[in-house]
Amino acid sequence: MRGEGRILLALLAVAAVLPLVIHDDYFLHLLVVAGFYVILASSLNLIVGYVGELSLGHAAYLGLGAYAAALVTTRLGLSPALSLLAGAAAGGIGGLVIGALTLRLKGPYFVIVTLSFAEVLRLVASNWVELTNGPMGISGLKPPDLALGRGLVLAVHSQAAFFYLVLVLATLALFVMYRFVHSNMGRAAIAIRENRHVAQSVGIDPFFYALAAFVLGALFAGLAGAFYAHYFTYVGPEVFGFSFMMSMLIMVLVGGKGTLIGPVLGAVLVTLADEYLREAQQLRLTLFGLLVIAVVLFFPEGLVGLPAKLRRAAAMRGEARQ
Amino acid sequence: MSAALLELDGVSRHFGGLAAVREVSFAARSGEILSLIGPNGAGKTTTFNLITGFLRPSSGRVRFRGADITGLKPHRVASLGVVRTFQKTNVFGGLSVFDNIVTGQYLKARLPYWRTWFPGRVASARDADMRRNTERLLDFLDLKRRRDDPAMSLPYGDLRRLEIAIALAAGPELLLLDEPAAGLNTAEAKDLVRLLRVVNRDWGLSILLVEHNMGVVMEASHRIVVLNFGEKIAEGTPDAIRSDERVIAAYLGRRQGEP
Repeated sequence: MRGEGRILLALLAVAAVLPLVIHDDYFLHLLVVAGFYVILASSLNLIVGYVGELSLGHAAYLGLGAYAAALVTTRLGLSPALSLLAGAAAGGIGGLVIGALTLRLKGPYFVIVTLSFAEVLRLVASNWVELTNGPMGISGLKPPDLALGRGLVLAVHSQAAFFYLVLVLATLALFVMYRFVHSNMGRAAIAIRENRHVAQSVGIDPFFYALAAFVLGALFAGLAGAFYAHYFTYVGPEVFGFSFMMSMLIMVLVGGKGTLIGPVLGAVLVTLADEYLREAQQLRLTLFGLLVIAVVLFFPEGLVGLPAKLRRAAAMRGEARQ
Repeated sequence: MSAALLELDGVSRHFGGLAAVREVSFAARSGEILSLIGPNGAGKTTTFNLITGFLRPSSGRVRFRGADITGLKPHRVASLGVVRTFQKTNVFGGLSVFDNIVTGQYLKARLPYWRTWFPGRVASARDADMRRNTERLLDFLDLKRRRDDPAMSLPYGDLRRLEIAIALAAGPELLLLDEPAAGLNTAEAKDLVRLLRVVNRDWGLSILLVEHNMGVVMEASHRIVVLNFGEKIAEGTPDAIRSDERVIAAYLGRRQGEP
């Protein structure tokens, strides 16, 4: 196994024991939210980091997943386990449709059109009152208890239980992504990012692999959305909003795009920072804006790239001294 | 050196009112090194783009091993065994030299998509094959020292060899090289000629070469096709081309018919 896989496994091991040592429900709540963002930011990273296209419409799949989960549980009365699947499927199908339409566009056109799709879905969610209950949203979702067999139910009620659920989902997501990026398919996606023309000249179909990564990303954003719906027991049109988009993009950039560990670190750090910056009130968004500018200017590879950057700087100082 | 491997049949490409390539026909035979030469703007790179699907011909047909490949997408053309390099050096800049060559083997590494998540022994065997092949290419192109360096940090000469390594990694039957000697010094150009000969004779690859360095062209080519202002003006052996009136006129700017 590669270094990246080992570090992820170590993080998983640490995360698995956290609820045993942390009994503060408020802090556990923060960790659950961080886990949700780990899935979301990692899913965006497949497109932004590996295919190298900036999708500003990723909240669309989060919203589709959240509404799909809310609708199948409240309207159809399906079990929460199925609603998680429904959320992932809704995200994936949304990604397939929107990706097929937008991935033929390049650069700024792609950015704008993906953003518009998310906005259109937000308007639909606010206005199709019969289906979505409009701006009021859908509330009263049940906790995602998993029926394991006759009479045997894995109850997900406590914060710790939610934490383990999100940990299982994040592990699943990262495992699927790990296998993807370290396969021939992943290499093809990276080749498109690095040099589209050379990629084509060695036989790689740029549209197909960009779409594959796009659908995979959308699928896990949908899964994150379904989890979100069950955790907060409420879904409203704001799940399509730009603030989620901002958060996940900041996480990917701060952590380090194009690596699997980067968005995981970014999600945890930004979630905690976001909470503790509440003190700063109105200044919060300004501070985040400055943070993004600083990262893009000085650490384009994010936190993950920091050790290598420091090593290079040290090596250069060493050479200069000689 | 007999059957036609690649045939261009009356291929034209217009950009607005400008004919970049006009009614060009020639054939590259299996096993030969064919050079495409001509002054700047003669349509050589456009011809490359028309063959490899980066541009669609306005009219005419392109055939590879007898099958019509006109207007196929670039990755489809590549999967048939026609692989090109680019005039401005093109590699996967952010990847290591090793990973560049591994990525070049995409077509050989393809497995059913579900194998991505359940790789099993087939995939690891394929991976091992690919690593062996990469080491062999690193050795062959004298890039072993650079193995783990990011491609964008390479000096120019190494970069040009890496570009050829990526193309060779794709396992082509016909290799199209767009000005591989540009920017090389005399010794490096000599090495390039040797390399082309080995690839052609020992590996059995046919080569279509666009090149301005006449030393390289005359030494490496079996035959030469000359373009000028988008039209073919001559075709023949290096010796015949060297003494062809029209070719000399095109290069030196004499009017045709002038003594």
